[in-house]
Amino acid sequence: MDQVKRTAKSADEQSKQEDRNSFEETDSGTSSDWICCLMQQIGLPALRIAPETMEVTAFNRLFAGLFVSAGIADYRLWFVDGVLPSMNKDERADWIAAAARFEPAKARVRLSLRRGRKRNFEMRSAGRIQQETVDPLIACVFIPTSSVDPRTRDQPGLARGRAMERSRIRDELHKNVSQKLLGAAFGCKVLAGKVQGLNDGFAQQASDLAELLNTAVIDLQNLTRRTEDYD
Amino acid sequence: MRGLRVFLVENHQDSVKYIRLYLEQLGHEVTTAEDMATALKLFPGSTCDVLISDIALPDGDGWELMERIKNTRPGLTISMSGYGSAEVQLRSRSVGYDYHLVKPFTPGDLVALLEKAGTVVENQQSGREEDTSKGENLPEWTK
Repeated sequence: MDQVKRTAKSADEQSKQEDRNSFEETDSGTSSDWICCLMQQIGLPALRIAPETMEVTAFNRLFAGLFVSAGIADYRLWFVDGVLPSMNKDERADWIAAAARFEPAKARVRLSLRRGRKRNFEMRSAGRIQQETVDPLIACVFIPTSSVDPRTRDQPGLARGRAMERSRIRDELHKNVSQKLLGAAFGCKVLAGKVQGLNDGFAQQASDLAELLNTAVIDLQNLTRRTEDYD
Repeated sequence: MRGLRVFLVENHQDSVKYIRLYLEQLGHEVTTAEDMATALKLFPGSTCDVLISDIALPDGDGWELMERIKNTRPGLTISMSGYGSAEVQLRSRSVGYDYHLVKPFTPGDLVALLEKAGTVVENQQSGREEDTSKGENLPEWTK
């Protein structure tokens, strides 16, 4: 690994730039590496590394996007300086051993993204692909994961949303429905009082209507109290 | 029930209109104010027996109103609010309201309290004091 660093850092800066430009040219259209190209189309960051030095030999644009802010100018060191240090410590040794044997392996990696955000990935790798006969390379694919179960991750947000909605409904019940119902209930009692003695039939109907509104008022009281009990 | 002088502070126009009509129909004399500024202006001259005030007012709240008229508070005071949480009711009691009505309340709920106020006023006039601050025999809807 140190040898990789030394080799890469001792290389002439101009040749590095040429290398990068050269790679970007092939990557911008159809990458020369079919696995990276395929993963790009699927939507997964991917790269290829040399088995012994772990020097990056190919990558797709999605992976390059991850490392824009990582401050590692030489793409050949992206795996050694960027991915390996970000790998789960307990899984790193196992992954290196598996990679040395060209066996499929996986490890958890937490990479720094743009604007300082970090994201968890599961890196899956495979080596010695049968279709490739020359220069066996290890293919690494990065699958975004989350350290928190997505079913529980949004629980606080959902609870806040539910509380806000309850509060909104309660306010609406108070400002609109409740006030109008209150006025209507009193209005009906007034009406019943006014027609009493003049027309007993109307008076009874107004009184019944007042009772109906009273029942609605009590129902609304119970409903608003139940929403308060939740908070 | 004897006629009482009621001072009603409520900014919802339909509510204040029909509560006023209803109370007047029952023989009470009603003065209304739709905000705290009007209430503070009219209250000193009203010599009312009962103050009924909404908690949410456009230029303040019923708690502040009570703080400002505390020394001249009438025999019975009732706060009204759409919020019936223990916190709101406790605050109403702590600033000096005798009862807290949770909106929407029925005409019967209000009449029951006014009957209580009638008793308080009669006792005061006959020299007997009734302590309403302990909240004894509170109707269920005021708790």
